[in-house]
Amino acid sequence: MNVDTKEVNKNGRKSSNTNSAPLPSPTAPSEKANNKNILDDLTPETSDDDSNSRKNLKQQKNGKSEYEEKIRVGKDYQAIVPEYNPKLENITEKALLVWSPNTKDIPDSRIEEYIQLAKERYGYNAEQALGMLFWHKHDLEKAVIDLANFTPFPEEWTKEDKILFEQAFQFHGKCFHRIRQMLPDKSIASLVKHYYSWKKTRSRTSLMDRQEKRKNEGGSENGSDDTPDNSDAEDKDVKRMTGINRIENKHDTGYSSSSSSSNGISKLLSLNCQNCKVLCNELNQTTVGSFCSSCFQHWRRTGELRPVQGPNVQRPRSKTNKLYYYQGYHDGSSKYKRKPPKGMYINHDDVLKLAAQDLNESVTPRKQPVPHKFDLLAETDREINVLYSQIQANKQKISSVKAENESFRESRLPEEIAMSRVNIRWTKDELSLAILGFRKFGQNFKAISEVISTKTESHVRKFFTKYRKSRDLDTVCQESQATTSVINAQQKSNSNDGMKDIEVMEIDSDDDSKSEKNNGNTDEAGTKKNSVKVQSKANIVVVSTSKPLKRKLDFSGKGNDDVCIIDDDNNLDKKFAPMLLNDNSEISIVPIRKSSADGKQNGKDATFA
Amino acid sequence: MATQAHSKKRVCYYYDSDIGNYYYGQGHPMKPHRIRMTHNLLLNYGLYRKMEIYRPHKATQDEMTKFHSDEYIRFLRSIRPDNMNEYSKQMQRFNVGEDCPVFDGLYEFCQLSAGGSVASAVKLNKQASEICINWGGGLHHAKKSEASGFCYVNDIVLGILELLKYHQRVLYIDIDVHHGDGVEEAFFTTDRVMTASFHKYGEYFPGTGDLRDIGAGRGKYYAVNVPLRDGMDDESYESIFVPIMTKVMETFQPSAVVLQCGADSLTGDRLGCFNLTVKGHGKCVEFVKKYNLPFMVLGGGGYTIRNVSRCWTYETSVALGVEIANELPYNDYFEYFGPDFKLHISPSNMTNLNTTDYLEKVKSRLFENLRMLPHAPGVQVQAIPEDGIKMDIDDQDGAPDTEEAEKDERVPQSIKDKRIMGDNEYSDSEDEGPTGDGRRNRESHKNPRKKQKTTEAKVDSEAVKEEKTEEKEKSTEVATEKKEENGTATKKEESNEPVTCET
Repeated sequence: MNVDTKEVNKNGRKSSNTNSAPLPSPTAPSEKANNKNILDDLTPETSDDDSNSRKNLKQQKNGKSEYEEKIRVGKDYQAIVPEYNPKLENITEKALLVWSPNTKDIPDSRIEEYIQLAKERYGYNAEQALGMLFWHKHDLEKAVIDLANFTPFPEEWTKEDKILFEQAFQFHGKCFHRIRQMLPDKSIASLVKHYYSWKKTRSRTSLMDRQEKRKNEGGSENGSDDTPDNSDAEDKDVKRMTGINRIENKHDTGYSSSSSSSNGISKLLSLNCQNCKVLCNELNQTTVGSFCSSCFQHWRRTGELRPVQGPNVQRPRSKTNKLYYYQGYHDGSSKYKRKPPKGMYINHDDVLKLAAQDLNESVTPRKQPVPHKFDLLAETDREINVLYSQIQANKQKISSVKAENESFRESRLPEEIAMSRVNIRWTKDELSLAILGFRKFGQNFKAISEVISTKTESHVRKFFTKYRKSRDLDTVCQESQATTSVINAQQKSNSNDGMKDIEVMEIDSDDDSKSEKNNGNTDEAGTKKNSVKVQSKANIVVVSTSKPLKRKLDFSGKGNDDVCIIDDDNNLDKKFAPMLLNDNSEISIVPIRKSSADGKQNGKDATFA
Repeated sequence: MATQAHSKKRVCYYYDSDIGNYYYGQGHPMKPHRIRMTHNLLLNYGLYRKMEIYRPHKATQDEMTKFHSDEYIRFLRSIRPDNMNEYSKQMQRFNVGEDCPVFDGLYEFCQLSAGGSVASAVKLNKQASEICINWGGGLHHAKKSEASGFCYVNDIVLGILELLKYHQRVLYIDIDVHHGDGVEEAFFTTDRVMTASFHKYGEYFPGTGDLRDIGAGRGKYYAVNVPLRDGMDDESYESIFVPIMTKVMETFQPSAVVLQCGADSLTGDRLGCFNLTVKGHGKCVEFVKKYNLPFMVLGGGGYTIRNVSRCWTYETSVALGVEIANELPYNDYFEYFGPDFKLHISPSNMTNLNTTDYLEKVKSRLFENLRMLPHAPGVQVQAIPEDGIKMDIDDQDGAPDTEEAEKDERVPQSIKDKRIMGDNEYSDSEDEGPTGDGRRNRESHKNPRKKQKTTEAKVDSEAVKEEKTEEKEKSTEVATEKKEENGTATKKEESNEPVTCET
């Protein structure tokens, strides 16, 4: 439906144009016909596009198809193509170079710092700061020194200007000509610029606009012309900054509804401001009462009543007046108003400070703006901005790291991805990959699916449940934990000594594995291991087990010469005898008697074969 | 990944800080402010620092009348909102008033936009940069003496005209949702500029851009129009953009490319009706960039300004070959980008009315047209000075390979067409004939020997007779062409030039 409205919009706009356009429209058929003739003369071999264009022409004469247009041919329409002559002239560039990338390889972080400094200390913007740097030929030090000499003019928009602009905007909308009449010292360009930087930060006015629009909409169709833009603005105003705006929104919607409904009533009331009691000829209706323009302005900007006297004043309509901010009002929206946005807390001191300023201000004549208060607000505003930029910078960092991570993973598994897509059937390669995966990651299906890459996590899980029994996957998975501990042990031992001749490991199906390594000729098993992969740099590895061993032993990883397996209780199942060995290694299985009752204890005797 | 090798380019960027301050008027969808928003994003993304930044000059009246009529430019220069009433007649005539309102600084705005594009062209001509970007340009609807569709001065045409001084063939690509009628019209009858436009067609502004509009006169087959329906998404767009542009690149072999990146083809545009994302839009830039030709990137339409600036920022990063984070940096107009404050946008769920069937049909039709093109026109024709730009020699080296591959099916058709065109007033091959400078029409000079023979044989040529001789010519031409193709490009010239001198 969005599209529809857009279509209409477009058609509405541009079709009106085509109607009014002098040349292509039916109002100039003769000219059109001329063009056609030219075109016909040009292409006598009558391709179908010509006959078609004649059709179009007819249609246009009938005024039927406003969108059927033809490209016109003739010297009034085509460009005169210049001669191709590469050494024609020495071309001069008229554009002004204001920045070129540095050739000195200043790190980004330093430039960032420099810009930050220029911004904060001297009020430059990033562009000006870079301009300064460029002027000094990318010499950071010189530029920093020079920064102070050319501080840009402070913003030429004073607070009065801004308020005036707001008021003018309220009257005239985006008609900058008229606004300019109220701000004669500003150029239209600067008005436009200010408008764009201000428009998204205003929230109240945009809602006022909406209200006005709503009023207008019944009568004029022109209003709809602008709505996409405005609804746009409103959306974001509401979404932008949480609680504060929400409060204001509440006020405004409340205001707007009451203003439309109570129009008649207000006329009956006397023209006294309900806040400051001043008699005036125009009152502004609000939910809180009808105000004179200055009270209204104040309320609109701050959401509070303009203080008219010291703190102890008794206000006549105290109920609505005082309470509405702090206790909510009729529509039961109090919870919105009383709660600051998430993560923000009302600091009592701040409130007092603000209030005190209010009091001070109330003593001063009412025409003066409220500088202190705005100062404080401006300060917090600045702080918020800084925080915003920090948040955004952090977000950027996070997302770039994420992206990096992603691309890294992709680069790690490029072939698999290229090879095939996710497929439910299991190929042999995938099978063995899966088994390896179980061995390595245990039941971490996600990790396994990432390794296989052609299977999803659920595929792997299904596979696991299906083959759990037949392939004894449970035990395979248990090995995974062992593997990790082996690796740990390996790392430990590596740190102990560089080269070993014999490594003794005890393999145990129990998982409480400790590892220790003996150098030299000892065949004492100081280690309790439950292991699949035996990773050792030693020439001879002695492995002893104390409990039934059902795992494959993988010695292929390292260049072991010989492997000796010491079998305590004839437990070593032949079926699961070491399978992965280096070609030239020898293996011997030596059954031994159990020397201690508890297999888990250290100090077993092993005979070295 | 593959593009990484050649992704680092010298990029020049043209921007005037005043351009965002022009205001078309209340309720008008065209907002020059979007250019400033883009600029601000670039600045805060740190992309600004990686480019050469230029402030364009204001194009002079002289520069603009290279294309536009003097009268029209004079009118633009003198009209102001406060003297509009005196010009009502001319406003009618030049179509200024409704879509193209008179606003404050109208002429300056045109000057800046045109200045950027002309300066870009000059930069590329000097070979001082590989990619030039002017987001203030791309106003493709403006006609020779008529404003149209928010465009007053056609900076694209001015830029291409500048490029044509140093480039034999320039390719113009238009990915705005509207047809690039101004540019197409300006170069409708020339074979030195090919215009390719991908646009919504059917009950839509500006109404031109039918599939069957292919150019006229010598420019026949040099206008490529890809009419599309509502709801075009990334996938469909790529499926038609890539094959067609690949073919165009192959057959036309441009030495410079101008890309109009109108962002109203994005999803959720206020006026557009496509469903492209920023990524899909940016792929077009990526595609052209791969060809390593002098490349001018221009703005254009785009009426949901937050998306426009997202898109152009992303495309600048693509041009630079720099990856940027999806999180937008904090910037002066940060609030515009809520609620998500991300760079990329997601498509809507609108239905794509472009069926694969339809797209296939369009594609095959366009391929047919492209087949009519002689390969790399003008390469053989051009009498290139000895120390011509190196680039062209490279082109020539590349040309024969592709030519040989498709020669059989190409030669008879294209020559026939060329021949027919040659009889028309727009072709000077007949008038200039064998005594011509051999500058343009391939047939006119290619085999002057053969031409002499045939003209000797029959002085008065009836249409029927000529057909026959044409066929004869064809056969001889094929033979000579084969010979030519065996030799290198430079040899070709040497062999050609003395003959032309004789005649």
